[in-house]
Amino acid sequence: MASNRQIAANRRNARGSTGPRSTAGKKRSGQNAFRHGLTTPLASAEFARAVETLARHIAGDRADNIALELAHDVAEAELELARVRRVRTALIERMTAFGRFDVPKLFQSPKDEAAWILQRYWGATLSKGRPKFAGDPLPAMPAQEPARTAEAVRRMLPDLLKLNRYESRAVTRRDRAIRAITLRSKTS
Amino acid sequence: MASQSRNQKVAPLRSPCLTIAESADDFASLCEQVNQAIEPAGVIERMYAEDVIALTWEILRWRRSKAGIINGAFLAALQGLLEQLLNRRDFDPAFDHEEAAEELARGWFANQRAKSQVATLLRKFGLDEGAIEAEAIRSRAEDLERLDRMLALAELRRSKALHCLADYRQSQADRKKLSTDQILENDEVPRLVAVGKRPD
Repeated sequence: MASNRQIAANRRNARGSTGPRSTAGKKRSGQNAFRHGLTTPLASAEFARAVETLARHIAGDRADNIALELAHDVAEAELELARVRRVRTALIERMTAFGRFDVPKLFQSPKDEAAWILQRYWGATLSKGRPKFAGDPLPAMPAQEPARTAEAVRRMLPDLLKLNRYESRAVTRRDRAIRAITLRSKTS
Repeated sequence: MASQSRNQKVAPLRSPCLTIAESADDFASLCEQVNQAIEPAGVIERMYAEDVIALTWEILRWRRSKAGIINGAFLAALQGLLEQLLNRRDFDPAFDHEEAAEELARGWFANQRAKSQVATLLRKFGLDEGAIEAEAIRSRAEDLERLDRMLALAELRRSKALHCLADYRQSQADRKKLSTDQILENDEVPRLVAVGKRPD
């Protein structure tokens, strides 16, 4: 068991690490769990309508509530799966077009940027000398296909592997619901 | 559940996910082949058929990318190899050695003379053009390992989709059998009466 001194020290330390305090810091940490936004279920009316239509199609002439509920699960997972695949294609296309997801920095540091602004608009120079422009560390993308898409895929392999996990989850959910439907129709 | 006519063209449940560089005609032909082979009936079977199509397309995409990644690394691999093969002492100043390697590597893709020059150099050290490919693969080993993992996953999922489809079809068949069995059990079998022992 922790002694009183240890408890006091823990409390003291905890006060020092209660997350970001500035608005910018809170905003940034709020995005910590965000990668592709694929864990967020779609809540749009259009999605709900699509789920409903597909669920009715799956349920067919089974009119009971449990069958409809299971069909609903299948439809939702199926549409999530389609969404993951759409996202993957869109990301590959974006990477093929730009060769990267982030916008390259123009200056090496904020100080260099400030120096450039001072020089450009007020004609003033900082003591540190000429502002340094950041070089792009990524080589240029190949101009021709299929080399361009292959390079895009190579650059985004970690992202593609993450997307695979979302895809697996949707497939598992859908297949489980389908199995439940077939099991139910066997017993009923 | 509405059954699909075997000869009808199967309308897709989801829109195809193709990149700008991919051929819509090739995708349509793949869809036709898979649908002909699977003959999906009903919405759930169509879901599995579309999974098989999407995953087959994905496997083709990753295979193309794999070849492209190796090809893309060829120039740097050849240049690195030539830097090792060319003797630094033959060049003055020394950095001309790197320039010569780069020039020869670029030439290897464009002209026969450079190609035979590289082949001679390689032979001198008991190597052949396979050494260039090996270096290209070595330099991209991490990416290729990730891509192989994705390929393996896609192949596994495709097999699973086919397996699930087979299971689903079996369960549908069992259901039909069960319902026909019940009809037979409930039906009263007419009793045969022996000739000559007619009831009075």
